[in-house]
Amino acid sequence: MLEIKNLRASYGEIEALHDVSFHVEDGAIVALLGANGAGKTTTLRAISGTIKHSGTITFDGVSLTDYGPEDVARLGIAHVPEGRGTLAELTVWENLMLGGYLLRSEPLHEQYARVTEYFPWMETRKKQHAGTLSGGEQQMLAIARALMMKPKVILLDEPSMGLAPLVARDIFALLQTINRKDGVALLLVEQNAVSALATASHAYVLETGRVAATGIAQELARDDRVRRLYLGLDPITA
Amino acid sequence: MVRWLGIAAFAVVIAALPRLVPQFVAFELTYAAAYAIAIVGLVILIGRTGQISLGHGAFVAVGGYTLAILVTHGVPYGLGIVAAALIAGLLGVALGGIALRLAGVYLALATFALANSVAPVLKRFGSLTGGAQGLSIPSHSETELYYLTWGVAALLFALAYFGLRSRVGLALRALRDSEIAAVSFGVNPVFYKTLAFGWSSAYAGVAGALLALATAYVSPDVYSVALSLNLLVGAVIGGLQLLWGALLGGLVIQFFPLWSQAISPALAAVVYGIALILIMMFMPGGIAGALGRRMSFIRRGHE
Repeated sequence: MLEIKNLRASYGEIEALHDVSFHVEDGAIVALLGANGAGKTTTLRAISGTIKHSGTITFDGVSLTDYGPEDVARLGIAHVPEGRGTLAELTVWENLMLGGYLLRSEPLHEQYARVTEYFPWMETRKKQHAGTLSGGEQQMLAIARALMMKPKVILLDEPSMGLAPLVARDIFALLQTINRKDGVALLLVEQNAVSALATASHAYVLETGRVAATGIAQELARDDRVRRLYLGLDPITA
Repeated sequence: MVRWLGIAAFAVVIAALPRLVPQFVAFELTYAAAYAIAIVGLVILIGRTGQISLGHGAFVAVGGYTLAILVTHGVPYGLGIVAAALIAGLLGVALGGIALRLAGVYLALATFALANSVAPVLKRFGSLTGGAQGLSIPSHSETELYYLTWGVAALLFALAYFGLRSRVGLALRALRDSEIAAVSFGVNPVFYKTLAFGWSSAYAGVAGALLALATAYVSPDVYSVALSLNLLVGAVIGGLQLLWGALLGGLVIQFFPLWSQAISPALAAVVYGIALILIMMFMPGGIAGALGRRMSFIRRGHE
């Protein structure tokens, strides 16, 4: 349903994406991997309409080329940016209400009930300022806030960044649960290749603005060439 | 619960005060209420939306002159106040459109220029505004002015309170904290930033109308840059983040200069300045911010 073809994007003179093509099926979890500067974040920004790009991005048959971030959100594409982007001065409840900003009152409250089922602590701590939450809690709030807009797909930029391994594991497990129960597709950008490949069904490896490898996540995880060249992992010696 | 009891107690005190204090004090309280209304506008604009204005006094002037011109043409003052809100609000929307392209110090400078242009413009269109002499307005009883001003203030505080708690308030604060995040959830920045300017200016307009009624007179020199700066001082000292900080701000800018005068007539401005510096040093969130922290500490202590 989300189809990216020949995507190019630049920051000023420097082209960050040369020719990136991939797609995300309905309800799938797709990982976008690669080293620093490979173009992962840029790809997400292009999809969410926050940077200029060429090539085509279509979502359920609609071309997103001239869409700004607001229009992309309306179509059902949520973006959890790098560094979470929760608003520190706003309470947990206000952050969630912002996520559901485009919903009318009744579906908004239904969705709130649905989202807080995944995160019961948010209901009990709804008056707490987001800035006083731990890193893991802020990441969960960012995910919950994206879920509030009833998206069809969520773009996640490094959800495990700066988190303790155990907390990161919880987040990945939660993402799988949400994907299974709500049927929302996830496009997961990660440096933590092992966790991402364990979570996703398909994966694309970016290298300096190009797709360098692609395939079923589990197979990529076992492919020694991919492991060594692109993921910085040791070959499997078995 | 405690909050509503506090508000009710405050309302009773305000209603009873004209019988308890000398008439000139009640009259000064009328001014404080009018300033508080203008400062609510700054809390909305600066505190909640993050747009700086050094030209708030210009909209107070628009409100004052709207009322004065209408009343001298036989319009009842109630309509004059409504018209002052509308015209100041519309001009605020127009300025808001310009403000969209400016931020931070550039916006501050543009609004500062606006504040500076008020007196020359008023003097230029003398046939309508009375030029440098200004306009006289029929006077009203001091008790009537007191209850009118505090009544309007109560209404506008309530409107701001519920407005800021609504979706609109959420959108404004989201834009202030992260425009990118707000936009990505469907908040329209052009609409809300312009709305904030209009809303804030309408409050300034009402304050201007009430001040003009109380003084029974408008003249260009009342609306100098000093008025804009004074309102900003009131907003910051009272507490930019809290609505009732505006009330404290109104009281501060009305009474602190008078008290400074009483302490030392020769050094009044110095005493006032030192008081402001001390408040900012020890209460960085304004008086309301400091009191709010103290109260939440007491409340936690009870639990």
